[in-house]
Amino acid sequence: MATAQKRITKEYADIQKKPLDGMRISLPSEADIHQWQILIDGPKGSPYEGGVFNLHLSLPMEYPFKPPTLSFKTKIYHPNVTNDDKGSMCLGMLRADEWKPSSKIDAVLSFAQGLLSEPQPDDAVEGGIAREYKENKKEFVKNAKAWTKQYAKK
Amino acid sequence: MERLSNDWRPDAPGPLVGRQQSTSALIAEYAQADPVYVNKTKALPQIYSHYRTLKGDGNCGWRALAFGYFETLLRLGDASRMLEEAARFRAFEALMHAVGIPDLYEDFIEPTADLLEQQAATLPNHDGGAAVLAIFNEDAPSSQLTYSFKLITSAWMKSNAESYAGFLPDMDVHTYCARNIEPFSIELDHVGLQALATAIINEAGMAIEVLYLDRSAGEEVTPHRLPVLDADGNEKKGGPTIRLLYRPGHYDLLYKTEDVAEMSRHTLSHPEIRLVSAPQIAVSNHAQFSHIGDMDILADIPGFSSSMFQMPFTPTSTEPYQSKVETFSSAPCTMTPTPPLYPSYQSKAETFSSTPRTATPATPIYPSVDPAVKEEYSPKAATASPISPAPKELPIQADFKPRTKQQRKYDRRFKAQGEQIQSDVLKDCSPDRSKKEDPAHFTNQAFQPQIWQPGRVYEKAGEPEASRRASS
Repeated sequence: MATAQKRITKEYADIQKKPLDGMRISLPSEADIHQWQILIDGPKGSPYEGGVFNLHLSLPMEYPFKPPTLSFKTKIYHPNVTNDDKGSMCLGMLRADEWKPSSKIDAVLSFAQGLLSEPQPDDAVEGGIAREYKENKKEFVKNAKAWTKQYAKK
Repeated sequence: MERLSNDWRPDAPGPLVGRQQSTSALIAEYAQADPVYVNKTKALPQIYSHYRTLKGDGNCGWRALAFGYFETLLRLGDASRMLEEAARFRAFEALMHAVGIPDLYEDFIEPTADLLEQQAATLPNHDGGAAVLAIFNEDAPSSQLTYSFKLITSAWMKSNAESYAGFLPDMDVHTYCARNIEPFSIELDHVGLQALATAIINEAGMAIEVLYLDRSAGEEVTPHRLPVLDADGNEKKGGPTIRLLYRPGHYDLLYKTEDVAEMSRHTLSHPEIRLVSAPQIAVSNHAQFSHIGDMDILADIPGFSSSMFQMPFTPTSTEPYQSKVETFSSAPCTMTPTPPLYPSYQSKAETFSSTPRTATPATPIYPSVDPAVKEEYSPKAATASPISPAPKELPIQADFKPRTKQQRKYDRRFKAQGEQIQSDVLKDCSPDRSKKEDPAHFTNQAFQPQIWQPGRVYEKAGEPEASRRASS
């Protein structure tokens, strides 16, 4: 556990020193370095532009030997995020058999941010939204924008 | 939900790195198996007296070699060599930066170098690897140490990409490392093994030998050697070897009799921490007996039998992690009714509870002759089987006292006696080589581990990727 804490503390300090563009990171509880709150601005040019998305990053006690989990607390219309109260984000790099202990949290967060600009419908958790994204992009953009306005307003 | 099921993997039983135990346990484990296995396991103790199990958590091969590397350095007992290794590990920082694995040096490489330096300080006399074993059994440090070997292997492959490209027809070296080396809990495959050997193990002057316990023809485990080479590409002989016992899907560590003896010679010369203790024998009608205290010294005495040690000695040890009791249920012993050749002499006290030899054998792990099964082996099935030992640790209150000069004299005498008994027992139990085996038992003569390719085993089995990854 000491190993995990040491590394997480270092990564948190590094991120605070060199913040990621369009993201604000904080600890909901200073006492628990394993739970991070992340506010991501909807990337420019994406249907999420203008919205702010609240994400929760949970780092297991076995970190970095087990992957963190990332979930959207703000509802989002996206093929790679479960449309339920969990809002789990499906990232290949966070799967147990793909996770690399040498990956760092800033890379995970940048990847998540990138996924807002470019969804990956082939690796989707929401099949319906993925199909719409591929077959009827106009409708997808309309829905994503509407949800952003409704749930992710600044 | 799908993600949850993909990520789920059973929690493998057993310690991360087990105690060194007699290979006679393997004979018992395979007593009901196909005759190929029976013969191969029976032949084991003559050359390889001991083995050590690794947890089947996907890291077994990597962890086995990382642990074996430390253990071999301790066995050699050369402090300057160990410090050179520490320096070599520290120097890998440059390699990591060169291939773009930044900032991770202190997370992964430094603890390994630190442990090497720390252990070098204990040489030439040491604790028989007890401290290293304890560290390798703590989750985080064990992962860290194991991962340092993976990370260096990955960096090495990336910096020598041209040497490995030929072995990877389907992908480039970077992709291979990202998929097969850098993730945790991904089984060691052949290319990874080769790279790990070249980058770290052979460079440290150690050869690797993988001994295949499978259905291939033969009466002994089939060796595959990754030798230390000189500048001309010839094998440098005479150096130490780390041995892996490979059963398809899983690696354990295997030891030659003389290596075990050499390890304990170094520990013997340090009376402060190397004190033998007499076990307190508690014999019941079910052949229960217990050994208490530091029993590593008995490593020299594979023929050691508990009844030899009914001495009124108090168990002694200065190391707290040695004062534990482990309880084993050994396999139903339906083979030749001989007591185990090599009862345990571990650094922890133990209680063996062997079931009566007339016990109904559990379902055989290996159906006798089923060509469809081939060499596929399920470590999960084996470890979950009631015939495999399931160690449990219990604290024990032992009253430790340093040994007297007189007691140490006894120790030496019993050691000599044990060696005599060992050779007698070995004579009795050697398989009769003149006896012809039924060739029909060798159902998979085509299997050649020397040209075995990782991945093909799985393709054959048609297993989904997720279960493949969880298999080791």
